Amino acid sequence: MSALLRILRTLRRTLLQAVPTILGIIILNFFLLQLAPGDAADVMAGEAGSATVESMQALRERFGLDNPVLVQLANYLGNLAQLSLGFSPRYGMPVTELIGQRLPGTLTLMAMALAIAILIGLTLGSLMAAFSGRLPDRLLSIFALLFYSVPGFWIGLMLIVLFSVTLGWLPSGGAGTIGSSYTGFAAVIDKARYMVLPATSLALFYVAIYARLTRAAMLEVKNQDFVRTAYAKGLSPVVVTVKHVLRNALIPITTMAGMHVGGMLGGAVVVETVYSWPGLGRLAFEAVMGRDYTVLLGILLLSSILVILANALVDIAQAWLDPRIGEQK
Amino acid sequence: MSPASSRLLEVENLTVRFGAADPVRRLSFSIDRGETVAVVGESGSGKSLSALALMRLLPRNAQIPNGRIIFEGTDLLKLSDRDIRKVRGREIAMIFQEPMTSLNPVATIGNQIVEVLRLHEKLSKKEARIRAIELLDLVKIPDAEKRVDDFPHQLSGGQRQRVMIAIAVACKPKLLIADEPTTALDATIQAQILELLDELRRKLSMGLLLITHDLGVVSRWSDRVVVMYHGDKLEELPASDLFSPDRHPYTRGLAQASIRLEDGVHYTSRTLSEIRVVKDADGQNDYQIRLPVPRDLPPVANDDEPILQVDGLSVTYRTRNRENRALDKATLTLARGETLGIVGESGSGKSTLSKAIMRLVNTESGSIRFRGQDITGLSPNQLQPVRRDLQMIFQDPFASLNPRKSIRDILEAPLIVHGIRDAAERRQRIAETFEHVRLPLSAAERYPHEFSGGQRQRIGIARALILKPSLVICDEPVSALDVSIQAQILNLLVDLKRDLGLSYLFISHDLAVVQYISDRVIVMKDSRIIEESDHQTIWRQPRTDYTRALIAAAAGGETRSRALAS
Repeated sequence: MSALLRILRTLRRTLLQAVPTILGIIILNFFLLQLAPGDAADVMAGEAGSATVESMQALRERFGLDNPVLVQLANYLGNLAQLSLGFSPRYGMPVTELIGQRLPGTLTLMAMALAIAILIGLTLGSLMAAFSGRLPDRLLSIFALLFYSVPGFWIGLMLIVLFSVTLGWLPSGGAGTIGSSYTGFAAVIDKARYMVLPATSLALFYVAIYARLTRAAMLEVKNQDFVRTAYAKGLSPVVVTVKHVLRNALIPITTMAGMHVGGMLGGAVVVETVYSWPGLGRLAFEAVMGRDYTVLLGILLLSSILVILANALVDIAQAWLDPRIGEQK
Repeated sequence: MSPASSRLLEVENLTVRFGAADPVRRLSFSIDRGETVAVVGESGSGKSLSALALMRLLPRNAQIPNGRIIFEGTDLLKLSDRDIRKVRGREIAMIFQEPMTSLNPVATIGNQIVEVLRLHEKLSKKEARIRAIELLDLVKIPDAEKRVDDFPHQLSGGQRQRVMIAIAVACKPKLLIADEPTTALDATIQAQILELLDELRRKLSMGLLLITHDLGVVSRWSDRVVVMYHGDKLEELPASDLFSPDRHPYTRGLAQASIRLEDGVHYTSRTLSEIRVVKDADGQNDYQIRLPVPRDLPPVANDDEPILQVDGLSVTYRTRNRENRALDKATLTLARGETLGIVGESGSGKSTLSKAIMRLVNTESGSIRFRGQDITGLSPNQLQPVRRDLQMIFQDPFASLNPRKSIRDILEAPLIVHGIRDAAERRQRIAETFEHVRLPLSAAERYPHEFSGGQRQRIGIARALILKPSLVICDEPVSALDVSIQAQILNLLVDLKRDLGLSYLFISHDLAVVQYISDRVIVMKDSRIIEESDHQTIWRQPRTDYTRALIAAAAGGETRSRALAS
């Protein structure tokens, strides 16, 4: 069977499973958020400091917060059916637009962090496996343990101290030079300079995970019979590692990478705050503080779609990597 | 050809060392061009390590403190890593025991052949692919042109081993090392693979080093034999002398302990000879053969109500897109005290049958009557008392015991489940069972990894017997064991049956074993029972072609040695 057919079959199954999953997530999230005390009107009134009972009532009426819970849910689902995520009382703009502004920033940051994590993690893991039990392995293990156990915000702060404050090589925060008139390639370089530090501090934790995971997976594959076959063919250790061991070891690693997309969204909150990066994570944080549940629901829905998409990508990657997956049994 | 140049490989005083242990000691032998030399030994004899040492493929923690491996005038042990890689796959090639795992699961079989061709013969991608198809043809894979892009999991075990052979002979090596090439395969496939190897050896005039534990294979397919035990070479002899009486006692023991179909030995007439190796006072190995003891067991009386009656039993496994009928209308009866042998190749449904009788899989139709009670529709709770009477012995003595539990825990668990609350009584039961399976009482406090394969199988048997069952299902109980251990376990099973009045359902792919232990035999193929007879008729007058083919494949191993001996 062709690889394409296998991949398409995998994709179809994943999409069919995604629809009920997303619906379940929406409804569950909606009720979970209803359990939290207070609403947007409370916070806005508190911030204004001059609210009356009548003005709060008016606010609630305007945003439909006074309806019974089930009616609110029905309204929300009705909006969704028209591809609208609702209106944010706090920001005074449609949630879709609000998220649309923030999404690209977070996505690039995550993609970059994941790419760094996988690339460095695979390299370090392969090295650790190649030298298992010897000095390079031990040293790298210590680093991996360090990155794994030190909290992300602290790494972020230290990176700023080193690269921005002491060395002055990279900007300490933001997403681009304010008021710059860069175009084309120069603009990309400018963006990238702002992204290096946040992406790295988000990635380091995952570098540690992938390095350990790659090491374990490669050591396991290395002991399998077909690796001995490869050596018996007269292949050099490098060719055996890259062509026979690594490809088989990638299968468990892609599974983990897919699961980490959700985790990275969570980690993004911290990193985006440290580097004042205008992304979804910070928006989510602000939405929680402002009890702006419409925004929060929108972000949660979007994140769950992202995670589902990431898992679909992993399924496809695995169907491509392993001919036994997606085969008609 | 002068004698000097006819010598292909000369191994001198080869020692393999792991830390303080030397699993191979001062091994010397030679192979001539075009010759087949067999290295025979049981597990732990060092035969596979010796083979790996020839290719310098030993694990990293192994050392070769002394010895020489002269291949065509060059000492392989002195070559650089770079130079030995030019020998591997091109001059010396190797095939392994496990065809299921010896191929990379994520690469097509074509690419795995192409890889070795491109490495050593510098062919273009296109040329290499054409050669790969030719090679698949050579090893008799049907439709080679289509199958070249298949992945290993799309091939059967026998076909995978053919692909392994294609990879090995791709660069026309001068020496082919085959490490237990057919042990994991069905008997009919086994004969085909060995025939193919022999044919290629002649066509390509290769030397062949055959590593095996199977004396039948050795006597038929090799010219000379090296017998190893525990790292030592005991003797070297022409293959035709393997079954002659004036051999090393260990070789003789091996030859006697292996059961052969033609001998027609049956458990009612005599025990199997056992071989035991003990250290004598000077620390030397003393090889003792326990000769067969005549036995006179009466044939099974068939007048009783049968202990087991299976009628039209079917099992279907369903996945989302497909159903697979794993057992199709099986009907059989088993009398009290009888042993029913079930023979079949992999996928024939014999394991499904045993699972269905144990009620471990859901049956689709048909009925199972055990001791007069219909157990087909019983709920798990209702089954509980039945299970005490219906126990099972498994094939793999390594995987079927929980490594984290002591033997006492393993044996006590079923007693506790079946309501024996008194610790003293449990202790008593364990002691009794140990006596039955001839294990020392001290074994109870130890853990599975501390035992050898044969001892573990005794523990497996003890676990089955501790509840005093009346029917024991033995699923390939001796297939994973060495020849000498196999004889001990079979003798034990016969004794237990006599002493405890057991009935056995004995499943095996090994016809000789089934012939020895069974009163009646059932042959299974493609989920069906295709033949049933008593233990004499089925070998003398098989009714189906399939049974005849099975017998021919199993007997094939001995025909040549027989012919030579007489």
